[in-house]
Amino acid sequence: MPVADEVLIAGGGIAAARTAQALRLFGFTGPVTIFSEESLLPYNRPPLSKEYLVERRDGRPEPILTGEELDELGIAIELERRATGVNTTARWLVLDEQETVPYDALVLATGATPHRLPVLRDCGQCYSLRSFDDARAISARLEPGSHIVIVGAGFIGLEAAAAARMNGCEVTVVEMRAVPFGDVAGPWLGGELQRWHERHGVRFVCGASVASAAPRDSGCRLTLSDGATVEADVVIEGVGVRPAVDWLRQTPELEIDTGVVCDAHGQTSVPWIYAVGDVAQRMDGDRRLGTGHWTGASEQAMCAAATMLGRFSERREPDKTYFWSEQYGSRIQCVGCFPAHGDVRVDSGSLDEWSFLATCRVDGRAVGAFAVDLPGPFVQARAALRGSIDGRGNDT
Amino acid sequence: MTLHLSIDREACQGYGNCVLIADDIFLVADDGRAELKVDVVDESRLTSVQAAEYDCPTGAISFERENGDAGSG
Repeated sequence: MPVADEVLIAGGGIAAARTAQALRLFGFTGPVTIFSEESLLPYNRPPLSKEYLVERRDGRPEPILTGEELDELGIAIELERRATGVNTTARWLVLDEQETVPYDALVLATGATPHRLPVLRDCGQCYSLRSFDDARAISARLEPGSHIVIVGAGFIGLEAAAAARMNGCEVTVVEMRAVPFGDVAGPWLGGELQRWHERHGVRFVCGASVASAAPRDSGCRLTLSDGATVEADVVIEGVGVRPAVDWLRQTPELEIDTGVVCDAHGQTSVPWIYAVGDVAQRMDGDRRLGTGHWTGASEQAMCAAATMLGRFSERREPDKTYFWSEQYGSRIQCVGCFPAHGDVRVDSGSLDEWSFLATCRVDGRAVGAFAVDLPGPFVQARAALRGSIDGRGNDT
Repeated sequence: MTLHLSIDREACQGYGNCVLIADDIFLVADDGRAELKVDVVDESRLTSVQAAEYDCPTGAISFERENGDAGSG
């Protein structure tokens, strides 16, 4: 397989940075250029909803690769340059809707965009959390005594809830499902997480959604689907993300479903175009592989770089489901799945002390593991699950 | 060529990604932090070692390449 002479990477997050690094790791010596629409060098996003909010940080995040490290690796990066299209026949990337740059191989790494609820569009005090600027804007509003309403009880929402409580804010979480986190950790653990947050003073309104929102004084008033009203100084939306693919809609030869469809190794429907990170929708035949979190993005990047360079023996199967969260100083780790019909048991530690490992079994087979502040046993459980849920290769 | 590994155990917070990548090189000790089983590995393990470094959320893993006397290039 011929190897590309020059690689362009569209997007500036962890997947973009790791792809560039991995190309060098695997011996690629041609030009590598990252085009990022952000004004900062690629940085890690997980801390934005954790220590950034808890400590109300204002300082810029540490880059994944410093300018010096980029120079040493021979990786060029152009900031505030937005990819706006691709011409797969001419093989060029369109930047800022006007400039075209030719590529031999192109990596799509534009990440994801937070869902925004139309009903909250005009409330005036609503924030989503994806970028450093978002985290800084929210941090500035976490004043003690403020009433923060969080819409969506996924892990971003719960991390924001914990950070707001730790800053002395009043917190209400509105979740349309019956329990927080239920689609990830299952109903039983979701209920335990809810009670844990309630012990920290968070109020939950589950099984309800926002029906309308209107500005009111310095904040806004939300009317919920059950008719209740909630006054908020600040509203934080944590209702998930969608792959940032709008800029690719004019490229019909590139298969897009919710994300850019690619195989397990990042190859899209167009030769020499690869997708990594949150923008990618990895498929194994008709089976949809899990979306990545921070760990998955990094591993997908290595896998795509190895594929691009024909280094197939170097490919590892990316972790599909592992993620961690930090709330009230406790570390939560989760891998696998927790279907509603699964049998969930606490294997180590204790719920009362809020330090435990729980596993989920279906038909006697372990399918998920969830731990709070118990890293050793969690690693063992994760390793035991590896064969069934995130099988990997190794070097040899 | 060999790879000399080190773990900053102060920085490590026991995420365990390294162990999942190469459990013959890394382990999580009883205190919940990672330890090295071996601190020198052959360069043939570069992909695993690099993946472990990339995947460490706290940046606790580092390594250096060192030319061995018998290196064949």
